[in-house]
Amino acid sequence: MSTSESDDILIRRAQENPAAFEPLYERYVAQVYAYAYYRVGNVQDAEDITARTFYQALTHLSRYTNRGVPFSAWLFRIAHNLVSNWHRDNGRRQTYPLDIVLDTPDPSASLAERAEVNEETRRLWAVIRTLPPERQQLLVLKFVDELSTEQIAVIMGRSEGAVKALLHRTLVAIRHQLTQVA
Amino acid sequence: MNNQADTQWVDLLHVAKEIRRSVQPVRPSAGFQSHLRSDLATALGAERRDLPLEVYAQRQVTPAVVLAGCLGLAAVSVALILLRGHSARQ
Repeated sequence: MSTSESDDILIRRAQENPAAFEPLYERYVAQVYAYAYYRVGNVQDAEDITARTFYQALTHLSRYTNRGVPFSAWLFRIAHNLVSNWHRDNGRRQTYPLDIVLDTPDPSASLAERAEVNEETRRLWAVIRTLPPERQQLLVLKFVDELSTEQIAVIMGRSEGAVKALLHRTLVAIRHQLTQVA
Repeated sequence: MNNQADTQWVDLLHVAKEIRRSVQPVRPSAGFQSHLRSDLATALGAERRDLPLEVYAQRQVTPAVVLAGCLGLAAVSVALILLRGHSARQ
């Protein structure tokens, strides 16, 4: 990700001339895609959500002002709303294959080790998928997009303390479920 | 009690580490990125063509328009001063 120019400069430029939106797109497309992929679990829907996120951002960019919500958080909020709609529309179709995760094991590992890692990953994500949506959102922002607690707090509209507490409760719940499964 | 709390923290850190380890970096394909970039550019062109004229006019605030406005105001001010002077003489 290029950090040569701040988001504020790029946004001002894009607001004056929407054709200058591309650097913002280049900066965030991978992060938004990763977020969408880990929330819906398949490439096709992740691409669709990513595309819709950037369409909406482009359409509403002229109205965006940084009132304590950085551009990245604004983008993730758009993506989050689209993911929520996707879950609402696909509530009965719980398909989370996470193909890429399971198809890209460490090539230096033996077949047995790869199978074991795949099984652990499958078990872990099967547990994560049973968590309430906001906890899944928190885990993806934290471990997939590697955002800071401060950034996550802005995206989720909570205090940093509340995010830390939610993360703690979420890890406790996962540990509890994993021990039950084992 | 402390030992139990410590054990719990160690367990939670282990869970966090497992989640981090299970995450593989995913990236959108080059083809998808290229299509989306192109679609956004197309949408942008369409949006510009669809702009209502009055909105388009509002966006045309060029330095020349500002200068013309200032000159107009200056002309009106001079005319008012001249009128006031003329009235005072009468």
